[in-house]
Amino acid sequence: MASQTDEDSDAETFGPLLHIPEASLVKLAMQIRADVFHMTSCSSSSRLVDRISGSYNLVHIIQLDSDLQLVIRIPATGWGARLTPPAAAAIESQLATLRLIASKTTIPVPQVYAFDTTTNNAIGAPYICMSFLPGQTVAKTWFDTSLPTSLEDRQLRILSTLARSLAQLARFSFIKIGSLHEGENGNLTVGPCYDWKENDDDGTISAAMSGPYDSAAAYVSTTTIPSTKIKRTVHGELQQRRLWRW
Amino acid sequence: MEVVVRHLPSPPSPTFVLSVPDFDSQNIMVDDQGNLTGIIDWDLAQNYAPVRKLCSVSRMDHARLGPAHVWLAQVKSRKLTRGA
Repeated sequence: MASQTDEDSDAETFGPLLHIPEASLVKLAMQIRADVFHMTSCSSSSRLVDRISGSYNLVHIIQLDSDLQLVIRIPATGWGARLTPPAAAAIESQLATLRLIASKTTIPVPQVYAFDTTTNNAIGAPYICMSFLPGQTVAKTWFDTSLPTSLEDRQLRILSTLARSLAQLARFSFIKIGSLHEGENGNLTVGPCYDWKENDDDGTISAAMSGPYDSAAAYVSTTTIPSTKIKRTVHGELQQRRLWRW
Repeated sequence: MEVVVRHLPSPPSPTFVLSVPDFDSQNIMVDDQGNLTGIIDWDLAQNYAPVRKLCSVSRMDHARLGPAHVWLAQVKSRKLTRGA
């Protein structure tokens, strides 16, 4: 709604997740540091550096030591009735995807240090803890004339390094449309697709699950929206916009 | 919509590819020179027909970065791939 402030909309989306105390986040980050990096020395300067609310995630940046920053991402589906099996499966699928990309390509993606799809942890919410990647967003650097490098050279370099990286995704091909799932033996299979579904009435967000699909036609027929019945899903809306551009 | 579905490619043994789910300038990190340092949002990652990603490139940040066809043409004219 146009009259709604960002704060109202954040409260609707993230509810109690917005009020997770800094101390709990730092505690979780320190537990992860002990498990992953085997560093247990207690640094008094550990703190929450930033809390960024995206459309579907709360992203926390925790400074633990002078040179260690961890990112804790909490999905909007991480509270109340939204904590469903599809919401948990969507997290696990994302991790399987990141693991595949990290192990088989040189595409720079965050390294996952720890995750939990349940609320049984120091912050009482599902999360993914990952490495903090250096750099600035392309949104900031694309037109930034205050940087020492020439704008045109920088833009071309962004496109060429991005293209070289993304071309590596061609190494993987699949016979079905869906998301990746890792079996107990570590084998990857293609399972359902996930999407965020926004409830128009109360603004709540839940994870939806469909597929997998054998063909592009089956996917589009199921997931895109006849104009008479608009379904509010992220991929759905984007999909419709894309289709109009063909 | 029916017309679009009818014209989707359906090769005898279709293969689908993995792609960046939210291909957006806010999710791509670079250094001051423009070297890629990270792609950060992999929520809802899934594979799909390769053609979809062409469509998403064409819509990527039209408003923020300028028309995609302009910078794609720039890349082409500078023959970046030759140096790759």
